[in-house]
Amino acid sequence: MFVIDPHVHMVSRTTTDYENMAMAGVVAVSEPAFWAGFDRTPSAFADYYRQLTEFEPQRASQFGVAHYCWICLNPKEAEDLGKAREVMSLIPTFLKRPNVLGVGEIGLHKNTPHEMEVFRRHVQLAIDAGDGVHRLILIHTPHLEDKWRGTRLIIDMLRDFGSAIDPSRVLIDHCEEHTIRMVKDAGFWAGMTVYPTTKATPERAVDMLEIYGSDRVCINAAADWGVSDPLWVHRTALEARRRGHDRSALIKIFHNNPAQFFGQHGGFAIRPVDVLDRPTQPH
Amino acid sequence: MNKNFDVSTNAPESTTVHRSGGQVLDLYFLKARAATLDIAAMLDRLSRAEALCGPHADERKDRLQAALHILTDSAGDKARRIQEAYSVKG
Repeated sequence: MFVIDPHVHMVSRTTTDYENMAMAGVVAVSEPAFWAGFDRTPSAFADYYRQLTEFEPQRASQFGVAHYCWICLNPKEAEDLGKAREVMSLIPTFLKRPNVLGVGEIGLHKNTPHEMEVFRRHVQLAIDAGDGVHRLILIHTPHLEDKWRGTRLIIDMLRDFGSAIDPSRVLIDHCEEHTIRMVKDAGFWAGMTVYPTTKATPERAVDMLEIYGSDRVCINAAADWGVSDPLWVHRTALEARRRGHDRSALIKIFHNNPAQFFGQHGGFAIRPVDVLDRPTQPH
Repeated sequence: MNKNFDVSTNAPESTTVHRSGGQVLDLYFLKARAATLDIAAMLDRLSRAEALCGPHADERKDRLQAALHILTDSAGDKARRIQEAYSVKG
């Protein structure tokens, strides 16, 4: 089984995690820029972006895992507009690096006016950095009680950009039962995060696949410095297999869908694969 | 010893840790929230299966229903009562 992990914060993980992921069939990871658990000074971000674009790819490559990333100021640090302006001035340079897939994970945390302002600036930055089409965008939706309203606000803000935003180049992540329909109906890619205490479980993620279909869906574990595990992706694949989903379906969900979405960035080297189930020939 | 809680040690056979309702919610709300979603999703899964394949008579559904009633009634001692609802009687 080949897996592309579409959302994992490897800076928070050990090298053993890379090894375990590689042994479990992970061929590539996509790492969005994230909150470190505390608010950083603007000067720390250049080092963080270098870690994402230079150091982590080296660590991953020891195990044959391709590492790609996304650059942004995460919404949890977006309240200070002065800081946001300073950090965001660094982003265009890093977006030019070949292993940067786009702008992310931007979004909302507590749905505040400042977060919304910084979100719009990031979207504009993705448009300005594009060459005819905007750069890919990866979006974090809020947790728990703020998720429904935050997801609604995000979709409305994206629509305000009109034809400058192509929904097929935007993945809205951390969808759950009450938000996945609005995301898919609006034409965006939907991410589901298996993070059992605060987001989905393997069982519920597979339920959502069965109800809403597997087109334009990516499943991740968003493993980070919290109680999390990159292999929740694999536990979800196992749950799907237990229910009778065949290998073609699993490859589509866990490899080909991310390959299709990320492949819209020319630098993403991994292509969708086919499963050829042939009857065993007698010897 | 956890300094957040006042642990009474004069009754070792039923050691009581005094904690506020807020502390309990801080520790367990997210887990309980996730558990309710798991149950809801399982019931939805069952409904979808029965919509597809027809109703399935099974006493486990009755036990589950009895347990869910206990969850939402006003009486206490819910864990023991649910265990009894799931137990073979007689």
